[in-house]
Amino acid sequence: MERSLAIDHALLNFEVNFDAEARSYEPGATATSRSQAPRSSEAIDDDAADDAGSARWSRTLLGLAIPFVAIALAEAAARLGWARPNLFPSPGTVVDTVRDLALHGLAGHVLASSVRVAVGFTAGALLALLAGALVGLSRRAEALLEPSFQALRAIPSLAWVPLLLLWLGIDEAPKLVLIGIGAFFPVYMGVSSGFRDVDRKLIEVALVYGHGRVDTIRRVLLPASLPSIFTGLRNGLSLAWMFMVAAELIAASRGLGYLLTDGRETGRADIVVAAIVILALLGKLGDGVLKGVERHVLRWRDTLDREGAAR
Amino acid sequence: MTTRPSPLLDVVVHDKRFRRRKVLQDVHLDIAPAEIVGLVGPSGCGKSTLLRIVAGLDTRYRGEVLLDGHPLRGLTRDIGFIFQEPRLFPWLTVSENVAFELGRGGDHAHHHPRVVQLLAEVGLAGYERALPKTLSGGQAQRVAIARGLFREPRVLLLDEPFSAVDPLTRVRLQELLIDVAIRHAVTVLLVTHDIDEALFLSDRVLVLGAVPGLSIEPITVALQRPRDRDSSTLLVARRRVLETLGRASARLDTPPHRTLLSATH
Repeated sequence: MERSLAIDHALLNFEVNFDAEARSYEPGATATSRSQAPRSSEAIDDDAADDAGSARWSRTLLGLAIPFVAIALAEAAARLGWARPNLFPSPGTVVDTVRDLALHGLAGHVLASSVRVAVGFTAGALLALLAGALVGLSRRAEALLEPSFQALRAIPSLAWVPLLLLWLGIDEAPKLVLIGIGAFFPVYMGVSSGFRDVDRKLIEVALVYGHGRVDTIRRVLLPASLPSIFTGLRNGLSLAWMFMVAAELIAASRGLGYLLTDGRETGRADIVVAAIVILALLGKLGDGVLKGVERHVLRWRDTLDREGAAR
Repeated sequence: MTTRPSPLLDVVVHDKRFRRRKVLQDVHLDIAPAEIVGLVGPSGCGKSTLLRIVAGLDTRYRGEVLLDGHPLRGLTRDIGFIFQEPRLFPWLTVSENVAFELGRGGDHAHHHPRVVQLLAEVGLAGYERALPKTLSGGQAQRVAIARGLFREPRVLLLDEPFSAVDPLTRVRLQELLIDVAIRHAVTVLLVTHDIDEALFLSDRVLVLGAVPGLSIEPITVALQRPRDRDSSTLLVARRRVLETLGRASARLDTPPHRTLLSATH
């Protein structure tokens, strides 16, 4: 169901943009148009932006349909007494709980978790950028490092926790390291495969017209790998949130993971659900920011998803 | 070929192999300044390999490439290369692609006088800030031609540059190439599998084949530009090239030698 909807919309989008694009083409290069500058394209761009804008709105509305229905069902279930309210809080109760929590230090929990994710993710992603670039650029580095990284990647996140607690105590350090580990591997994979898969033909152009190896890395390999790097960053960020919860579930006095534990220990399902909802919103927010940056940086891409192209 | 001026480009390839397979043997080719030379041959005869050797993209061969009497090893600013596909960098604007060699993008490229002039010459004035994804195939190849000329090379190499565009666009691009080549007085070596294209564009058509030794077959046909594609002179030359190609292809299967036949017109 979801899949067919997605395809449907990709096609719809394509038609809209294809239409707009066809109009902005200079039709061939006929004898008359050859000497002409291209038609002022602003008006056409505006049309395209309008079309893409309405398409985006209908997409957003469709995306909201399932959450809306789910909330309505949950509310109905609670009101009609289909579920025990202490185990299955109604959306209304959860909203009340969030309001109540907001008065009692919710901001502090959110901030603690967000800072941990930000610090851990940044550190892990930076290391992964370096390691990924090294492995993507050098066959020898790949032969040396890739097998070990693959083995480390296979370790489940929770397996690190006892070791990190033993080594680093129960302060911030083990949490940040765990989050860093979570962010590292997706980013590393994105960077290394991005560098490795750059079109050899473009590299050849850089050989002819560029200025050597470093210049080629900076001006061709890096931009060509950006799509893959952004995929890695987005996956890394979502894993960073996941690992953050794992870290906070075990030993924390603040943060959303602590709130989850606290809710369970005090039998407050509404607090647990509230924390889950906040985690979902924060995760989506972070991903949305990255997605926006990605769309801006990669606006040169010629893909079906052309919303960004029309701004 | 006996009384031609001293060559700008003098290429000798004694031996070029991929692993054990011999691709080129005893090929000799020289090109006069501002000459336009077409290189044709049966597929698999090594014409693209020869072009890559001249460009400096392939340095693993026995032989020598002389530019103005000086041996070349590897890449040089004096030689520009235009590939079969436009190969534009999709993240750079048209101007930044043309001025890639500068190493600086943005307004520096967009307002660079040579970029502006070259884009006007290839019929893309006003496209300075366009991204490659908005260009048609023919337009993209025009940008590639401008990029090839930006460094003001002495020799421009083209590897089947118009084989991926529709016939009408191909004709226009051929005229454009002649136009800019003459205007910039650049020496051109063009690999193509289209005999008519080679004849229309070139001062000399060389047939790379499988005949042992170096056999030169001069066909002297003086034909002014602009040329009429249907002129009887071209038709005669066409027959000579076809005959030579036929012999070259026939022998491609049997003896191991490859060499260069020349049909001058």
